[in-house]
Amino acid sequence: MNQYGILFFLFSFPIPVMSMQSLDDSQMSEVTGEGIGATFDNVAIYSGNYGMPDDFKLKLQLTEGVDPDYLIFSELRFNRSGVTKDQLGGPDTGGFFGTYENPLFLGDLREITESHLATFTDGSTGYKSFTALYTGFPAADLNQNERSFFRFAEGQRTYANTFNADGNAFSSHRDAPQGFFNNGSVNVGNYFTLADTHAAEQALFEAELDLATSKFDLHMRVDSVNDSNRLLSPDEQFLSYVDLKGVRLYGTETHIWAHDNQNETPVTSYINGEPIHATKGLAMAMTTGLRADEIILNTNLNNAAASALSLKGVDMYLPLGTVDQPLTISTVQFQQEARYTWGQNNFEPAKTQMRIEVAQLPQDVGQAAQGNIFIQSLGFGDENDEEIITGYEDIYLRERSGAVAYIAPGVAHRAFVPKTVIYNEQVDIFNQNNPDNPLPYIPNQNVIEIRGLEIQRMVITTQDL
Amino acid sequence: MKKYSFLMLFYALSAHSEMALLDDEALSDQTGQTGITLSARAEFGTGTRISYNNTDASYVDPTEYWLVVDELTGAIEIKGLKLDLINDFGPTQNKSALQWTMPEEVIFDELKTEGIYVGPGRTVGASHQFIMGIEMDGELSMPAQTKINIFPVN
Repeated sequence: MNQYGILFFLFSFPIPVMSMQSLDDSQMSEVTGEGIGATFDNVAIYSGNYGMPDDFKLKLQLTEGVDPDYLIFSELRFNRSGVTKDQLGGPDTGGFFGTYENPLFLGDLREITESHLATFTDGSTGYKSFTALYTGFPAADLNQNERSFFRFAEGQRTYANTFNADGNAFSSHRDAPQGFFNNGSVNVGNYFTLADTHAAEQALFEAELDLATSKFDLHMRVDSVNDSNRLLSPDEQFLSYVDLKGVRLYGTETHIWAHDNQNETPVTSYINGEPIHATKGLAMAMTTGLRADEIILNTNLNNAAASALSLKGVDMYLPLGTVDQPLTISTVQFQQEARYTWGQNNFEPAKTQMRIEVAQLPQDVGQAAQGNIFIQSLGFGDENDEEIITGYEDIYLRERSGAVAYIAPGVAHRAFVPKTVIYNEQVDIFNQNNPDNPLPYIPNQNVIEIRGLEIQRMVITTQDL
Repeated sequence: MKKYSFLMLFYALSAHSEMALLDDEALSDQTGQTGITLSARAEFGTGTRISYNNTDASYVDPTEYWLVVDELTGAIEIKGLKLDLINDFGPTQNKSALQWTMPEEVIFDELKTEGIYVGPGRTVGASHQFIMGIEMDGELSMPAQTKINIFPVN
């Protein structure tokens, strides 16, 4: 039950506690397009260290009984990105979230329509519509950028990008040209030109986001209390520090509605003998976009660098539910198998359980909403640890012509950090030392790219443990 | 009206709580200022419960189920929450908005629920399913004078 409890907790956040039902046309015309906007200025939250007089604890009780298990969240700090440790808790630590033109948008009732053509019990056909409560975060209309230079350059392939004015082909690169990381001049073709275009597109995305929200830092401590450490000190119950640096949301919005099948003749009501419940109940369609400069988990109480897992350059865009494939929450009478006798058909009496479900995509819709995750580099522990360093090589920093301008000697290369990231770190150092003669950056690769994430079908049913 | 029902719920929640009296010093903060400044403490007595169900959607399981936040106890205290109407909001500084200035700190005094349950009925019974319990304790400060501006959008 515990893990489902957490899921429930997370899913419950955007649900306004109100009764929802479909509106008729006249009611819709009165309400659509209206709503409440909210902007947040000088946003900063601070609480002291765990165990100090000014601390704050949020305890989630995960089990019932005399000695329940807990997850404890503390040291909650949320402030404008870049605030120093000494400034924490001070007045000049706030950031903004939303503007008059781009606010947090609440309370708008919108009509949403399926793209699936339904056949109803009276033989007619049509598209089912619902009245949904819309919530949009600032920059909700911003779409995810192409974070892969390889894919971006592929999309930029045109005649002009492949042939010069005389019609002769020249090198059009989707990655660093061959020999780029070795000594000597290389033909860079339009590599830097495309890199500039890609960088400009990314900068435009960030600039648009800058208009809607500040970058924020979030810090918290997580402790876990269970039978193995219940009587031990808080230090023994420590699980991890969680730090999100330079984080903000984009493209984030939610539709919530009361789903029903409106007398549609179901194509099938069962999958593998299990009834489909996702055509009914409280329904949601959520999209979450998150950009973060860095996400750090540290399992050492003293925040030792050796115990840190770091994800840099994170961009996650994750749809969960659509009008054609809503995420539904309902209850079911569920017979679970008795613990420790699984596979023996030893079923307990049916009990009310909560079910979170995404139905299969209707065949005529064709394509489910897709999400993508990009992570530019990973860091495991102290980046100066010899076990992390995979080798030392000279880095040849280049001018736009492709000629080597400077050799950075014996640069440490680290595991799970792309060479392009190492290269750009050296460009950064060079440019700081030579501000009047800067060298161009190259497009960063990503160490993780997960594309086309989609949910074909999902069923979560709570059970008693 | 329907869309504002969550605001009504907020007021309904307030009605469950017990409002503590302010002392003279705190009361003096409430007068002679533009808008309203609020310092308040809400204490939840034994037996406080929030129950919710949604009968408008249609469900396969005909059982009418409730989400129950059971045995809400403890207290929450805010110091210096300000509410004001402003008319210099927006890019041209001529829009009106309801402006909340968040309290410098919010104190949670063992504010907890024995459990959040799902089950058939507004009170917790043997058939209700425990989801989780929540407890909040300690101080959250908002040191930057956080402001929330609320305004209508067309």
